[in-house]
Amino acid sequence: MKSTKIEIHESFTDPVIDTYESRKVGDLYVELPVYKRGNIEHVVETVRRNAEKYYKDVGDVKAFGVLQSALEKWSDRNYEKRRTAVPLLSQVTGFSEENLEIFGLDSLTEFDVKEMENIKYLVKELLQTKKYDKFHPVENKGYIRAYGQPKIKKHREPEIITHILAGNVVGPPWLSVALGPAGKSGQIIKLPSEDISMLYFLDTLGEIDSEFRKTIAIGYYPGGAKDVEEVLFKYSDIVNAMGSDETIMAVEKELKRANKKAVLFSHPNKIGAAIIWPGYEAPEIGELVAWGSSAMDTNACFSPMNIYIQKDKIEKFAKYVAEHLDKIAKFIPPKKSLPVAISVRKYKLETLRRKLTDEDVKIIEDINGEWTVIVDKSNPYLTPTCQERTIVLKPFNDPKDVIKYLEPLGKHLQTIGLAIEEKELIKYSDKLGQIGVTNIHVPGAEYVLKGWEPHDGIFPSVEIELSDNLRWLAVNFQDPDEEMGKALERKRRYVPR
Amino acid sequence: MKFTYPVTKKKYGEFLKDLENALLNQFESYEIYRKLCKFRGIEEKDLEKIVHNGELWYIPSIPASFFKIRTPEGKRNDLVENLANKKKPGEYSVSSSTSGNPSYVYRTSEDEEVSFRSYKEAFSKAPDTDIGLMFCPELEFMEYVSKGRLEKIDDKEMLMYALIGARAAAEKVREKFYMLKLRSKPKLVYEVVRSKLTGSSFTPLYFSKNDFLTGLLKAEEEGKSILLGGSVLVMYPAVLELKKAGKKFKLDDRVYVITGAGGWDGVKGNTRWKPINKSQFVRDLSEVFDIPPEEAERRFIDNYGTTEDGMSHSGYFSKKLGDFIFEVAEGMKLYLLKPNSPLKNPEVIKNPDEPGIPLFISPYGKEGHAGVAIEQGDLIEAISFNDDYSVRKFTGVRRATDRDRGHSCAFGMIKDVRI
Repeated sequence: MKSTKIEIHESFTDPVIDTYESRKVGDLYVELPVYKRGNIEHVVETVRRNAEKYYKDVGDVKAFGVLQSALEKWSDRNYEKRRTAVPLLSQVTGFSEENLEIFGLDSLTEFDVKEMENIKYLVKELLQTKKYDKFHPVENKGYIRAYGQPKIKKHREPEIITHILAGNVVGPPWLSVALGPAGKSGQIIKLPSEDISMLYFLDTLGEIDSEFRKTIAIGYYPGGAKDVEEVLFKYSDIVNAMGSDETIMAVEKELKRANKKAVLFSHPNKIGAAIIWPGYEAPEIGELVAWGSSAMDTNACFSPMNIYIQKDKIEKFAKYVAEHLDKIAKFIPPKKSLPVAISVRKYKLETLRRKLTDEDVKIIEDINGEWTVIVDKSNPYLTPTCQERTIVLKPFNDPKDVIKYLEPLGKHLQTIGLAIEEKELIKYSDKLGQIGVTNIHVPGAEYVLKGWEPHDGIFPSVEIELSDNLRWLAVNFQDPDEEMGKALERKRRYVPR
Repeated sequence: MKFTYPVTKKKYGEFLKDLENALLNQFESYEIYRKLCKFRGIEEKDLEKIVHNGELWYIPSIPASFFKIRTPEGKRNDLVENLANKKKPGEYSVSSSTSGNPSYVYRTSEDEEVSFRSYKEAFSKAPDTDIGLMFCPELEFMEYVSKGRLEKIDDKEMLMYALIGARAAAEKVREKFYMLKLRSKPKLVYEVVRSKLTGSSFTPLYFSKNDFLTGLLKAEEEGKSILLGGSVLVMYPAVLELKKAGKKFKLDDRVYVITGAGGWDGVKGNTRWKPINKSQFVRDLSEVFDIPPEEAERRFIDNYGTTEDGMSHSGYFSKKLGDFIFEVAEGMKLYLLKPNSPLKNPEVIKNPDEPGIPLFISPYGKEGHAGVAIEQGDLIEAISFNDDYSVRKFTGVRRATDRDRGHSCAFGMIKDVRI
């Protein structure tokens, strides 16, 4: 019998895990550290011990510094590891190299780890002074406020934080590692089956500070593997889980069984949209909408899938968006895989079915299938798409109506790209916050994450210490026009008008 | 206008003439098809031009999903009735519904006859045999289900589409043993109602081990020829049990195996098993039934057909590919569309091995519905092409799925919510 030797394209090591397996991830064969029933207890205990020692001897300030340095390295296109990793990550995830470079990695330049930590002081103050239910400026950067009834519950200091990562985007999940220094905790990271980028990032952390790296273990186990999760969750104080609703429900169920005291940070299915205030239907805003929708091929939780616009401007605006999606795709190609093509085709066929049954629907599609703009005047309610640069433009007569169109999916709302007059910003943001929106950016900057913003309504640095039972909203700008100008400038650095 | 399925091969020119007439007829009869043509920017006269130019992949096609009884939001799909020509007497063919959302395709008796003949033609790759082990429900059960247990959409009768193939198969064998037997009727009615209420996957059928062994022993002892036909998901587990028990049957050159209706991915209708490796399936059956390895490519036949296109394409097993190589059914053209090509301007695949979305084109058997050109929701790879880029032989049939696209915390269409 012939033996087939698999060529391993990339191998990774972990200072704490001693078990490795080769796996096919995307188009690559990689050798990965893995969690098993037999090693998990040892891994957790080692990480716990390492973290205890590190934070006692070195401290969290240094750890935050290490993290910031690593982000800065990865923000540099000349960083050798980045240059090696990007082509491989493209094969693993299917994202084009340009997409990974621009939307996944370049965007990290604007993320300040210190802000992630500093925001907790402001949040705690707002909680203490009971001023959380009013918009509060964050320096001159934006605003925050919270919704709901506060119920403060302090947590014990976390010794172990477990991260269950999703594989839909590259870059932003790396920021989760900041929870370790925030809680002075050991971290166990479970890789998703579709991405390995976090391994590269942790290698960089190891290059900068090998002792800090030892406070983190990273490996893979098949999601839902009870024998591993039973032990892992038993020792976890916090489980930070990202994924589909089904994944989160499964984690929650297992966590309740294994460890009733553990806290779950859940990041389930999310959907985003953009809202274009009357008067903002300019070609430049269409350009920004196209840019925001192209980021990570609309696969991210912050991606806008529906764009709301005044009814009589919708057709013209659709043309602007389509024109720019087309241009952007030439500079930043989208994913090309067969499953993606099938997903898009199915979505388009279903849209065609609706169109043929007399619904007011228009399909504008690219000849190469790289993007699709649907104008749906028939159903104004927020609806998910197949992602993959497929967006639906929906009409409103009055922007206030959009609130009721978004509300049914309120618990799934996350980021809204908002083109609006400054005088309307706070009032309208408040309405969005009330129905569940947690992050407001300008169109085309949905992917630019700031350290001081909440993630799905919670500030992780606060939540590590206490649960406040509130849903936080951040408006991540103060002057919409200025911010849109910046977003346009940022976009045109890569793709001219 | 009637289009009769060619028993003997029609000339290409005749096929094109029939196709042109059927297309024009479809354009006139169905408003929905006119709307589809309009979406594609195609007028009636363009249809003639497309046929004359022989670029048949440009013919606007109805996606198979349009025949599904429910929309993704769970509402009744009005298109099903709009695609039916109910002025003509006929009944709905209903698919086995692996997805839980069956297709309803309206057919006249002539249309059903075309499908029946197509299945007979497909099964003719194996000779008629003395004994047939049918790995499907008894015909009586399928008729029973057709008559009263399917979801009705109007006053028209219904027919489980699988019955057409099963009837064609039944004509190939002199003595039939059905492996899926019906439980007693009063109990059946109760169980069906209960399963509907509870949403359970209860099947009112049981596998008849007795018939299975009786048929095999009879063939072995009496030196009779035998055909094993039907669903691989019923057949394979039963044969594996024999293998596990160390049982073998000396059937020499008297055994043929015809599978059909998919199921290789482990799912068909209510039946759930595990994905089946076709080479292993052939090896295991060859071992149990004493089929010499060199005979495998002659004795294992699979057929591929769908409720929407109404024809059966059959093919022999290829050891080299570890898969079946199908021939396109008589009276039909198959093109493969590039999955990422625009709906308005489909591109045809011209190279073998590149998976594509099948576009089935046939003027025959389309009296009752707008199905002259159907885009199927599967993936297929061509082995060889005709000069007009239509597929001559194909393999690699699988469901077109975005399953491998990965999980995401962003909201994809799979979670579609519509208000």
